[in-house]
Amino acid sequence: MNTLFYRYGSICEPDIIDALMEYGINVIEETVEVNNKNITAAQKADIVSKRLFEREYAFVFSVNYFPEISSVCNIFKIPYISLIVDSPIIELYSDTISNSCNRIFLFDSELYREFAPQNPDGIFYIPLASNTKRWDKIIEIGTGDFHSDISFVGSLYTEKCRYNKLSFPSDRVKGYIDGIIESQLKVYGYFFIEELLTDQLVRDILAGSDDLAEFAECYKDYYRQIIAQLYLGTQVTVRERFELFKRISEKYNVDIYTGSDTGNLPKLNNRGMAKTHTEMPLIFNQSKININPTAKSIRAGIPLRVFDVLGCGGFLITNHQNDLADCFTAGEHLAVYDSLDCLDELLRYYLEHPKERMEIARNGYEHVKKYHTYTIRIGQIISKVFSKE
Amino acid sequence: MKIAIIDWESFGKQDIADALIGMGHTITYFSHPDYDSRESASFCQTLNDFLKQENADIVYSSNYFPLVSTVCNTVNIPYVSWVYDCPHLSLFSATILNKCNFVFIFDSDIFRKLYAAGIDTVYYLPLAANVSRLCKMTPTADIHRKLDADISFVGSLYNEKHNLFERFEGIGDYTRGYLEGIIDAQLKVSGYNFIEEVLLPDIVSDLQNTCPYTPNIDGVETPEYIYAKYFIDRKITSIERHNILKALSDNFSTKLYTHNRPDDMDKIEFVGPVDAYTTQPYVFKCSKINLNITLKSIQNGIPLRVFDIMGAGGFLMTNFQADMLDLFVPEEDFVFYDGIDDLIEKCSFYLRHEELRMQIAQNGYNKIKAHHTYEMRFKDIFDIMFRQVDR
Repeated sequence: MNTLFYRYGSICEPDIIDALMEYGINVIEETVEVNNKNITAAQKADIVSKRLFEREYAFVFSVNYFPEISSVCNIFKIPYISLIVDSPIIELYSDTISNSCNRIFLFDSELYREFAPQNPDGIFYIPLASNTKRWDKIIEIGTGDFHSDISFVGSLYTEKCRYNKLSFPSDRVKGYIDGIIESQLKVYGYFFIEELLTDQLVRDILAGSDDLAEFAECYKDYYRQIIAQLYLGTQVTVRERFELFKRISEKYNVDIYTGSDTGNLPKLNNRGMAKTHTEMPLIFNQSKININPTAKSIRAGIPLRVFDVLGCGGFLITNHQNDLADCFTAGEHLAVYDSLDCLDELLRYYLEHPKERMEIARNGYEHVKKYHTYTIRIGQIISKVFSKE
Repeated sequence: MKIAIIDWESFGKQDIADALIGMGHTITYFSHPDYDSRESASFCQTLNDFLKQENADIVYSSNYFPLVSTVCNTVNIPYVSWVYDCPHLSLFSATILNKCNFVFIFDSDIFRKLYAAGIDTVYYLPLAANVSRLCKMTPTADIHRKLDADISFVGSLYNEKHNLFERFEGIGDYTRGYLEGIIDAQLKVSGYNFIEEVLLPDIVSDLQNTCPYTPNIDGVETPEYIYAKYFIDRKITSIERHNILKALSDNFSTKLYTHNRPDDMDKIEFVGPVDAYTTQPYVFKCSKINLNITLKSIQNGIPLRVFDIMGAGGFLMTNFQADMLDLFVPEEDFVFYDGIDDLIEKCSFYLRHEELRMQIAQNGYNKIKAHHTYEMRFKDIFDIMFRQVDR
């Protein structure tokens, strides 16, 4: 059985390829986008269809979703499996998601609730996973000192956020938008910004914002969602990460591995970018405490970082996400906070209790190794896709 | 005991007097126009003389008054107060720490916040109902003809012309938009009030410029708290009550007992205000569904209306308030709704299921009668007081 794996450079691609191979599937990789990010939709479609002419494929696979690949697969009548590992993903607001070739696996139950009605037989919810075997090896041979009291590998989103590219028709509208962003910051588990954007607000914002018109050109019917999720939701994350790191860095010794500018957080130790495949596992493994403040744009799902910290044997304190209970038990596999006060309390407690910390990390690692590896997940995906046909 | 009661037009005034007399105490009322002031030599002198002359053992008031505490502390008499308002600014008075105080607060959230701040004169005590008075009020055929209703709501819509929010007229456009944004956001979220937390310094300073707030001389309340609780929460309650009553009256036969007739609600039956003692209990008895929409500034507490409805044997449909779960069981003693769609669905269900509705109302009434009367509350109050005094 052959599969065409369309790669763009996501960090979980090698793990998924390994897992597919474990099931005896012959993986042929298309890597053009890994090195050329400027590839157009038409070129992408052309490359994939040429590939599909070359030989028989049982399915095409990609991490995240590419509308043009779906269009091609729909013509070829080949299943297109995509695994969504991040949110927001603008490409999901494409009409192609209702194509019958699609088998879209969403890592977030709220995303599933939003999109499943558009293709009930082709959209599924499945949590992410980790490759403990790979991490075990790297940790065994890895060198370098990555000890921290508290560490975080990830972005402050300042460089990713397009919020400042929006322009508003009046101060009153600007005030309104800032008001709902500040309110959303206080509320977990319910993203209401999208519901508060009236048609009039969407039209007003669109009229003055060239960036939005250009950026979302192909997704005209979804301007509301795109403003809410990609512009305002990301700004909520920026504000949230800033407040969180400001607060904990003033009290504790906190290291961040990031490409973001941390100039306005002088107490935060910026240790630069970490290499995903060689350094990140050591950071997770050697830190006393890893923290995971999930971006608000991930409404219910468990981010990849959670699986990877645990898969590397690290101790993790994460914010509460509704899907967490599908995979983990708070207090047994990891620690969970639901407010900044609570996070503060947990940090203080676990810095003082190394034994408990290490036991939870051990349980978390064993649990991921047993139930949440890519091998297990890919098996679940394949059986879901092919049991139907 | 001889109990001096600070006289003012509080809710439950007669019920409290009945309970205390029923328990064998003697009561005497003290009246003075400055009872709610922060400074009044005349009040202090008069109360001082009154307490000596009457030889009172304790002083009681509904809600808490700093000057009463000041006097009681000087003459060393216990001062029992039972707070049913929220916000209630005088709780932020420095006098709250006075040793003479026994401050009972109906909202567990306020209680916890004060207690956590090291104030050990405060206690958590939910409100109550005078079941023996209410159960004697049987509606006549004539009353039934006037008051029978599918759904009723008794309470303010905060739609009076000169409400506090309208005083923000001169604020900048950005601030106006910001307030509109946080109000719309809060309307989406029940069970957690974030307004005070999202009033950022720039917004507060613009509000201060337009509508200055000067703290009380002995108060520690912040401007954020004042703007959130007195201005914005009321505005949110007004919008929420309006939206709910509009939606309900579009779907069901609904009676509204309030002061000001609302605009754009042509289907609602506007009745005007009712007297809490003489008429309100009949309204609750004659309505198939009685609605409670709690004022947004009350975080966890059970408003008096809930006790009034259940104590009269009425069927209660309410928004979620955390303290309800301390005393009652949802779907057994009362029903709560989450959002307008849910409310409409539940009203439609309970209007169709008369037996179930009557059973729930009966259960609620039985529970109040067994555990939540004024006599029982005062027994708790005096138990706590004597335990402390003995120590």
